[in-house]
Amino acid sequence: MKTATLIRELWKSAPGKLGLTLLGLLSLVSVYVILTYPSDYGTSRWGNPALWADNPKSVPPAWTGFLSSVKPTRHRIEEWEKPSEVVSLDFGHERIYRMVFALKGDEHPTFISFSLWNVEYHLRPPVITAVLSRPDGGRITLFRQAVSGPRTGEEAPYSRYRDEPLREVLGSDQRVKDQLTRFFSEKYIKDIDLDVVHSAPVMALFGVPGFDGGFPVLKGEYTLEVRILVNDERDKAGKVRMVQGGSVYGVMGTDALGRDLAEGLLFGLPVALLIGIATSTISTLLGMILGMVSGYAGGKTDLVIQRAADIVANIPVLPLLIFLVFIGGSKLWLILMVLVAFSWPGLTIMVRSMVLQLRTGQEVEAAKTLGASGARVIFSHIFPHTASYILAQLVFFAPSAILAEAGLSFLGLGDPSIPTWGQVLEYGFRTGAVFLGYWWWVVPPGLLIVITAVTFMFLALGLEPVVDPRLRGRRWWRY
Amino acid sequence: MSLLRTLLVRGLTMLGVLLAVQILVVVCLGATGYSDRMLQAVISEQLRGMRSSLAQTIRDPARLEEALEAHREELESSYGLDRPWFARMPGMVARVFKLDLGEAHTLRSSDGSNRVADIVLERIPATMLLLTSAMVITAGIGILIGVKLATHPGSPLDRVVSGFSAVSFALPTWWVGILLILIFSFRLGILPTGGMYSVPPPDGGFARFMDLLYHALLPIFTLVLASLGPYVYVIRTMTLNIAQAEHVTIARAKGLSERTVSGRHILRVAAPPIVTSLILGLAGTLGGSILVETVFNWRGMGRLYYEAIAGTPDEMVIVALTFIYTLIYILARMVLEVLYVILDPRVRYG
Amino acid sequence: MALLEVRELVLHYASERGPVKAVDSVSFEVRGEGEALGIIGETGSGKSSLVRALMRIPPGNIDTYSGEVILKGKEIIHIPEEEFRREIRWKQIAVVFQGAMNGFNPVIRMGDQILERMVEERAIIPEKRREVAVELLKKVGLSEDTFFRYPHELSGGMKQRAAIAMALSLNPSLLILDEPTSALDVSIQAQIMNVLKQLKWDMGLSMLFITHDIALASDLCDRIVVMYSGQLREYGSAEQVLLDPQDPYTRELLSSIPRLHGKASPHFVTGAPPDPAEPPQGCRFHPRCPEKYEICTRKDPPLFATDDGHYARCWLKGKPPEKG
Ligand SMILES: Nc1ncnc2c1ncn2[C@@H]1O[C@H](COP(=O)(O)OP(=O)(O)OP(=O)(O)O)[C@@H](O)[C@H]1O
Ligand code: SF4
Ligand SMILES: [Mg+2]
Repeated sequence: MKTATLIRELWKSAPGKLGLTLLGLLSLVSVYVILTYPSDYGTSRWGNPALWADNPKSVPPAWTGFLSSVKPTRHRIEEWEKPSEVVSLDFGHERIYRMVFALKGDEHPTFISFSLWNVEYHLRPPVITAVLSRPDGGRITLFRQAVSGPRTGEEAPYSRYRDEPLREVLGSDQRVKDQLTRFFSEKYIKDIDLDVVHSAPVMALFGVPGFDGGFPVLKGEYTLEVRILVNDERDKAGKVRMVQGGSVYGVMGTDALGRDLAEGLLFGLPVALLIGIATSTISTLLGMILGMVSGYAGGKTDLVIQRAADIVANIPVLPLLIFLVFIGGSKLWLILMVLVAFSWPGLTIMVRSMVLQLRTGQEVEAAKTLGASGARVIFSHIFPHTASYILAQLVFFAPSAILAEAGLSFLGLGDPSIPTWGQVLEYGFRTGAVFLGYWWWVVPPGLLIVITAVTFMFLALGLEPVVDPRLRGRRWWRY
Repeated sequence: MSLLRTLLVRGLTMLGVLLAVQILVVVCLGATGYSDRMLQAVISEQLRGMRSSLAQTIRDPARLEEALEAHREELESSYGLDRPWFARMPGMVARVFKLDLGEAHTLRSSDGSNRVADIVLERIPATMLLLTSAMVITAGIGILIGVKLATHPGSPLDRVVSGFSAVSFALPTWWVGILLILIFSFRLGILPTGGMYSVPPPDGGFARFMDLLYHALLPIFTLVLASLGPYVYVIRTMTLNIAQAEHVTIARAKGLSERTVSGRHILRVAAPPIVTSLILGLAGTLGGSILVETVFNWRGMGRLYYEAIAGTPDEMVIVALTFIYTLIYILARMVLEVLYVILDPRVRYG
Repeated sequence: MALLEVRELVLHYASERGPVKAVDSVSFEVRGEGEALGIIGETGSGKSSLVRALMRIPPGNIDTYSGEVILKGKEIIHIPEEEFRREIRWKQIAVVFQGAMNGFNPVIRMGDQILERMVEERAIIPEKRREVAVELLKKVGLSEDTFFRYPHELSGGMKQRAAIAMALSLNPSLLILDEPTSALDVSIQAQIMNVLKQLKWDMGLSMLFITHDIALASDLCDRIVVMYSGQLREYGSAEQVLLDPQDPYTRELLSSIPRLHGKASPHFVTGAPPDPAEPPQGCRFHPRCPEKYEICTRKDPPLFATDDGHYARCWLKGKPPEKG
């Protein structure tokens, strides 16, 4: 059957139409991912926690704010190459970097941090200070530290934080807590729950003492300043970044490492398609060739292949799959190969029986009388008759391969250099996302697995009447 | 006579499967050097313990080393490490076949026994509880719904349910479990998130049993939910195919009552292929149970298998469990195949 | 009074391309008392559909199903389904379906299938089952042990006999046979025909014998109906239809029978049978008719009486209406 007719025939049935549409969509997104993501995405980005440090951890997607009455706080990152202001003092200058931000949400920021790159000085080490000004007039010094002094043998200008920035998550310092406690008791004259100040200083930092001992958000304009006190005109900092951690993030939220789930899940798509298509193609090829050889050669070969197929078909697959991948190591190609090794028998048995039927049929007899070779008979007279069944198998294998890989990944046997949806789920499950109700972390990857697998299922369903004419008139798939 | 032959052939195939799996497992453990490494680790661990106790009595470091070396050799030969894996492991396979599962190297049963049989036996009931109840419920509901649908093909209900069951082919069992935890445990808070008993477990046999059932609810529901769709779909399609067969038209033309037609001429004939579909679904349910036990922290064989592989690797437990999984699988298959043979005269005398 | 009288029976199937006129206003009668009525037609002419219509077992996709069937003076198409099932099916009219040998339940023993209706009605005491069954089996020339066999253990010819035995189990007044021999080889075909002749002559069983093989029909039948594209084409006694065919289609059909001693090589009716979903305008046979003339393409001819009890659907046999 020609591809065009096949697709037209598929398009006629509702599941076929759905399957083709979904497949087209998934392929488009996959192409986008392949074109835009680095090829070593798994190791260079997803598996590199430093990259994600400035993201909020385990927060839901930004759009959840629209659905809930509690207004979330947005994530905010600002970066400066030049100070917002330089103040001259008698003994030097103060370079001030300033982030002014308004808190409008009902949720506290999840954290507040700054990073500093490339500090250069000539004589005395600069002193770095971070100060938060609250709308109610409070000024809390969050951080104060001098850059490390010259090492013996080091020559000016001294360069610091060149390869790795100075990164500080603010608020947890004991001195900050003391300042906060003092400020609150002076300003609000109230009993303050010190426990909260100590266990969740960010709450206190952006809140006012409430009636129930908590710290509801103090809305209004805050200013976070990073000040660098230098005594030499030439001393400077290369880059400053300030982050106010949001209570929501991006399209799909983040995981416990702050990784953007949207990005990781998107990467999983071409991987899943690859797993499905590669496994089903290889195992279909294998099953088909073995079936044809078995049916056509007969004799000992047939016996051996059939016995082997019988045995492999009766093996409980998952326990062995787990075992083999565990022993062989978590490599994607190994997982694929093991899947292939277990999935050929069904097709082999079927193709063989079809070949046996065809072999004694008139067409093949005629071809043989005309002196056609064995291979020729197989390819021009037997293969075309089995082609549509084989195609159906091809489509049918794909979802089971995708599900099997996901299951293995969920058991922690996934290939760490290639993040898959199963692995995202595994990490979520292992770190308790399910029990903490982090649905955005565990629902979408599973849903994506289902959608991808279902795409192939629909195609298989749509193919069924094409492949088996007996099923053709059965109306329930067609509308 | 030929009935016996049929069953004998199936039995031999199953035995072949069992042997093939064992050989595969052993070759993988041996040829990759995994077995050696695992045993070395066990021995080092034992020697470390020995060193500290020997150090109390033997003061001279040289003599201590000597004594330890002697112990090492003794241990190595007792574990068979002085022989290559292919010499050591056939004995292990043979013993497993005789159901002598040997002793675990690292894992222990809850009362501290290191006999693999003890470790495995205390887990089997938990798994069986999940597996059998899920299978029975799935088969029951599947047949009910599937047959119901087949009697009204093309109805809106049929279309919807058929569509859903097709979709559920694509559902990962364990993810369904996670969803159910999110819904029933986290959001509604009416069912436990996992484990087999409450902490502390209630007193009294009956209360404990009810507690177990309460904990088993979600895992069983998960297994049923994930495998029901495919069953319904397959059963419906098969029943429908039979319902369209010539002999059903003839049965109607004979003036038989609709009850006789659907009972004797549709269901009775559909029974063998339905049994086949049960056989084929078994592998999925068995595999699914490993993952579901992980999700629900259900201390059954699946969890044990996972611990023996990924937690504290234990060769003996791995070999024993692959054996037992295969054994359970082929035994269940045998039962179903005998059932098939009884149900279908064509096979019976074929 | 005729045993069975069929009046303007219609069965149209619904299809994507409009109604399929498988049975299009067919009327005939079976007189009873051992009369065999033959129904002859090419494949697709609606013979099996006629059986379905008579037995009230049409498939799911009905477009039109109407007409009257009068059995022993009683209309049976419009009586309640349950009454029809209990009183008519198998008791009055039994059928040997086309391909009946593939129509046995594969998991039930032959004996149980043959007696099934009797057992369901408790019309037989268990001890007598064997006896009754053996008698039935003897009538069709099957041995006693067939009773315990499963369908897959019997040959095609044996199953066909068993199907006849099954049809006889309730002593029906009318036996419908839909191509009872078409899948069998010639010698077995002859045996089955002998069984049927015995039933007709010895037991006086009335039959509706459906075939596409005119030779078989002439062997057994007293009167013959020729069907074409869902319509009755010619209708008369066997002698009338076979020796003096009035309709061009029947003539073509007759000349297609291979004659053992004739010198003319058989020729088949040229052209393909019409598509029952879109039958030709006018006379449905006109695209293949060697004698067609102008009016044939415009108007469908009615049945014209050409002799006593002999009818043909052809404009050559009657006066076309003055204005078309
Ligand atoms: N369920 C159905 N739906 C639509 N069309 C049908 C259906 N069953 C039969 N037909 C069509 O109705 C026409 C008559 O079919 P029928 O089986 O009655 O022919 P027949 O004379 O018995 O032929 P044969 O000699 O091959 O048995 C055919 O064209 C067939 O394709
Ligand atoms: S009516 Fe015309 S076309 Fe039809 S059979 Fe008679 S002559 Fe031929
Ligand atoms: Mg027919």
